[in-house]
Amino acid sequence: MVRKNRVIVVLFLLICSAFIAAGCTNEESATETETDTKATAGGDGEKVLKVGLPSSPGNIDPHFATTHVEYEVVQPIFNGLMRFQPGTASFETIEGDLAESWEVSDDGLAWTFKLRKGVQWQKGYGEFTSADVKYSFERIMDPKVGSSQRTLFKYVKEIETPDDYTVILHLTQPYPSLPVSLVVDGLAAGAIVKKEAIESEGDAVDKLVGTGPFALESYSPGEKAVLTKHEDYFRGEPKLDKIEMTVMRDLTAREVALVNGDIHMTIGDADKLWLERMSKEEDLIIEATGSYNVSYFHMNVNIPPLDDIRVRKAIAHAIDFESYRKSMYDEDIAVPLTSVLSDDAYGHADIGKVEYNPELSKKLLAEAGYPDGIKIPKTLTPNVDAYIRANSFIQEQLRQVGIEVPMEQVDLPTWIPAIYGQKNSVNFQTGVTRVHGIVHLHRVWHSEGNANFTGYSGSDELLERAEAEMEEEKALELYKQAQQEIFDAYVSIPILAGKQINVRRKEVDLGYELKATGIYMAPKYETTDLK
Amino acid sequence: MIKFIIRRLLIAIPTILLTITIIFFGLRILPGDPAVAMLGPEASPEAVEALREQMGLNEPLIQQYLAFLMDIVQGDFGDSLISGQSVSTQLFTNFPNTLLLAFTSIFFGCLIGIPLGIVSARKRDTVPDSSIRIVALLGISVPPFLFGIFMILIFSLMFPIFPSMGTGEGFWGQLYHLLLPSITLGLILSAALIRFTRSSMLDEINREYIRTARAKGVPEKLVIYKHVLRNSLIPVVTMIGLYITSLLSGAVLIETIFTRPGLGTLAIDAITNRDFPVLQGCLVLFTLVVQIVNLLVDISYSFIDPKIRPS
Repeated sequence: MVRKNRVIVVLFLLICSAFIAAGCTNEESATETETDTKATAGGDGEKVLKVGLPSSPGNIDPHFATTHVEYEVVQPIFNGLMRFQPGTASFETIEGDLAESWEVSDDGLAWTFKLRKGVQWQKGYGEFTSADVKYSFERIMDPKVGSSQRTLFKYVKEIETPDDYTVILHLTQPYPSLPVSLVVDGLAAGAIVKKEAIESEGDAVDKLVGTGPFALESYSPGEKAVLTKHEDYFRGEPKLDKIEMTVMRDLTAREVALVNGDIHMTIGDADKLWLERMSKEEDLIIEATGSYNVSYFHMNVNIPPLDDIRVRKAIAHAIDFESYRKSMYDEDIAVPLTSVLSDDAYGHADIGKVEYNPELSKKLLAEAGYPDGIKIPKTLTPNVDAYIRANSFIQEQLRQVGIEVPMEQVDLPTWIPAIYGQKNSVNFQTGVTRVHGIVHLHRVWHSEGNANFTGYSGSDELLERAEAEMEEEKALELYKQAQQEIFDAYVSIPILAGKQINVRRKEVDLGYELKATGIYMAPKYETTDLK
Repeated sequence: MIKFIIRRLLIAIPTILLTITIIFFGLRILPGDPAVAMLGPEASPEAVEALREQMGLNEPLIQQYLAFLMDIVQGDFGDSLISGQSVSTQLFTNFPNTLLLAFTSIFFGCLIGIPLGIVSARKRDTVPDSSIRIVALLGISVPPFLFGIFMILIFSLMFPIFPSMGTGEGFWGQLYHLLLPSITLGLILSAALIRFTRSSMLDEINREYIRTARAKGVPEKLVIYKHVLRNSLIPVVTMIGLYITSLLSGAVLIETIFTRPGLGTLAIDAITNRDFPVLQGCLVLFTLVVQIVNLLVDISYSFIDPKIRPS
């Protein structure tokens, strides 16, 4: 009996000590948990906007952020020289942010920005000046720093700061799409950071200081980021006290938390059944905005037999992408893609769609010297549900015309270097397009583009001309020609453009009308409030 | 006993060393580059190369391995390649949450599983026995993530009794947030415990010493609880010990579904980002936990059955 009691006592003590350890840890991991207490308490009248992030942000340094969840954290903290008008995400709606006005020289080689006066840094770092802009852009451009946004400043030769409130960017060639490089929330660069903070010894909370409406109060990777209002924000004191972003990897958990009011907003799912279910919830607002998520079927022109356009054409005509789109998504959530650019991208032109015609496909294969079918070199595919469904569909459709595509499922960290390194033969892929047509076209189909998955280089000269063309009409014509050329080359078959599903509780007042976002979720500004 | 513990600890050292070595080299074989994971796929090759150099990833593997061993001996797991935060801090923050979940799950698992196992064995081949066995079979068959989702839907959405996410604040807050996930994981464990306790008890019930005890007129309750249960518990305790490892992996799913920070989610993120130091830290900690649990299981035998007490 004594021993039995001893076992019970030991078990009890173990549980208690684990509680104490958890408690101690929370106390000691200082900023994180102090914030937790205040943020979740809510009883003291604080307005805390709670956001569910679908995956964990990694590096939230704005010059290294690459994923949408990282931008979700970065956006309220930092400002760029320019921004999209709240609720929009398009080249035409770009307005001044830290820059009050700007002008471009006649030759397009000098961009002069007049900066706002009296903008205060968070955490008492004083007033923002042109030196901060120079430092931030030079940091991005420094190859030793290694920012992936460096290419967005590829034509910036020199940054001149004649006074505290003027910045002149000298370019090596005209680059009219430069403004998209200067906004923070379009998966672009341009966040202005504070040198003294970013170079300080310390963690993310010490380093990541911006001029935005919310300051980073705590960051616990894989768990949560807490932002508090920046009272001296130059557009006025934010209405929210805090924004608490919690990593919630499971869609059902996010759904339950949203319905129960444990979180206020998150990224929704484009799945038909999910949308149907959630739209019945009276406390929720679901908005499908923009169509910057585009899906393509890429073919690598450097891997035989795909170097033969007849084989690429045969593959393209063998897959019924229209049925795929209709079977997976609602008609108004995923729209057909009629060019390699989405409808919303600046410079989009209706080019056409690849017709589903298996007979033509077989004929083309025979013409190319493969009357009995063909086997394409193995390709890696990601073990992500949406991709598995799409790739299974593609594999089966190709098999029906005698084209065999061996596919090996791998995890994302293995797949991503394979596609960027042009190792894959064929590649179904969904991604975010940039809001300016030429930025996206250059990035994906120029031989030196950062995201050239196909090895295609046939439109290099045209893309370079288009990129430097200052006259709007001529530029748009060149963008159209480029879209036609890429379409005709059968390297990337446009499949669909999916809208972003923003879901939030009715008590969230964004303070603007949401038409599109550059980062999946509605941006948070000083106007955002909880009713 | 102390000699036994010291001997076990000494045996544990080469096991841990071997495991750490496998972990280190195993991770380096994985495709995917941490420098690319950190800079993003669109980083220039020069930037990736510069970062690899800075991270020490270009050093010869053996040199990296020796440095890794030296650091571990000093309790330093390095810094996360992605967030730059100290791995030890991250482990220290997350581990207690997982430990708490594991302990309370075992507590609930035992609380439900062992008594039901006893009832099932005592009422062999009756309706209660069949019912308990069917429930146990169901518990083993349902995947933890599905079970977790069901529990959330029932107890957080349909009947909002428990919170669906977070860890809570203060002792009671933590306990409240812990109940649903630990009951979920505990129920899964209890399913296995029911079956194990039942079969182990049935083995013992048929032994000669039990027949003798009954023939001597020892009351049935005493026979069951003093003799049968005690001897049946050895394989059950072994099973609980072994289950700790699968409990840790089950905790990954439960932590994900219930949005609880913990070692599991930390490890998953580290795998996704190829964050070697964090992943190494998690795996080394897992290894240590398994070693310690095995040791505790061995020690607990001696309490349950003095015959196998080490001399």
